[in-house]
Amino acid sequence: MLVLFSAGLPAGAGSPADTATSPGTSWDSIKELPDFGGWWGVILDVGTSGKPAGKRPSPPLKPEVLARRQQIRARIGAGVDPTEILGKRPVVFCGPRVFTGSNGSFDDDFEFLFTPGRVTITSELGLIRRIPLDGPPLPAQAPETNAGTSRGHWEGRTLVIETIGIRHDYPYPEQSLGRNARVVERISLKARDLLQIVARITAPDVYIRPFVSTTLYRRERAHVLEERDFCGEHDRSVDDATGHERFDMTPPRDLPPPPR
Amino acid sequence: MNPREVGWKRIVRRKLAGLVLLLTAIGTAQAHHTYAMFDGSKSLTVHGTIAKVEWSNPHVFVWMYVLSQATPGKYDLYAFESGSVGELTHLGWSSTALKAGDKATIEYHPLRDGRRGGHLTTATTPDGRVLRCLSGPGAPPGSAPPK
Repeated sequence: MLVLFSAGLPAGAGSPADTATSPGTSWDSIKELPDFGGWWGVILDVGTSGKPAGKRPSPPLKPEVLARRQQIRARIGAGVDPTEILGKRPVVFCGPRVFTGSNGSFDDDFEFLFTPGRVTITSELGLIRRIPLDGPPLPAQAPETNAGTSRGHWEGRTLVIETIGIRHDYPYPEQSLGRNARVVERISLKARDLLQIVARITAPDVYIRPFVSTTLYRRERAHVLEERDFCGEHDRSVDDATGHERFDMTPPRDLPPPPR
Repeated sequence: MNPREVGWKRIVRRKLAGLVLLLTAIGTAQAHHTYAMFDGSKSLTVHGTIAKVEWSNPHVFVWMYVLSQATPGKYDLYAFESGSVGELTHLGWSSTALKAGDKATIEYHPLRDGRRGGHLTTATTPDGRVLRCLSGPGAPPGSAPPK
């Protein structure tokens, strides 16, 4: 995954433009926008080392947050069941996708849909972000939802999206941004099939200062959407009844016979 | 082909890489269990015939028939957990990358309880195509480029 991080850079989010003439608010103006069409996948640059490529300096975590995450990592490294560590039932980890600063995480492809006055971003595993390009500005506060509350506008060839109302209780501690987080994304094409998203994340519960990440995505022209839930109905690795890990070796009913 | 250990240097490298990847994956959907059931310090290899691929989340499962060492002429059934559909797709897999009847060599971290199976790290087809999985208790030393 080619993910470049830096901290404390200015966002330059700018202010919403005059909606009467704003790009993206009419079919004609959409024709003039950059081509964001198709599915985008985060770039996995695994090379030959087996390690994710790119520099990944630590985000500017508050000391108490860092300590808690280190404790969680240590317990997971020791083989403790995450459901026990986090005090959550396995089903919690099968909940819908939540926006915590990126459209796709390790494995989600996503797409942009342009309609007059709105950009919609959908991820392959079901997160749908609806981003008005017109209408009233963001409120000072918004109720927490899976996608958050967003407003967008175009600055030249860059789509700028500001999001608040991000869920603080996302079950994965490494991605939780706490309460009152704010994400400003600047999305642009760096090449015909290369998309860059610079995200400036302000998270007063988690970071000591704003955190800026730059992530690159490749347009996957041959990608065919396989719409599916993250957790299947039959998870062979977790027992739904007990919540404990397992390795279920019950053969599939339609398993063919051995070779003759 | 009997399961076999690989060199210790390779194992250490995989454990270190696997730790990095595990910590990376904690924030992602892949980390919905710990992989404690697999022995990440061991890497075994078996050769056999693909019986079935369960192409579904949260883990693609690969079933394989392997000629039994204990009972000549018979087959043992092995089960391998791997990554999510999304992860494997990014690594060059598809739902038909391995099909029932295909011959393949699978490298994996074995189950600690001794049953036949584990967490897949690579699947190699007779024509030399290598399909890799990055999640799990260890990580392969390399991987196919993203599609």
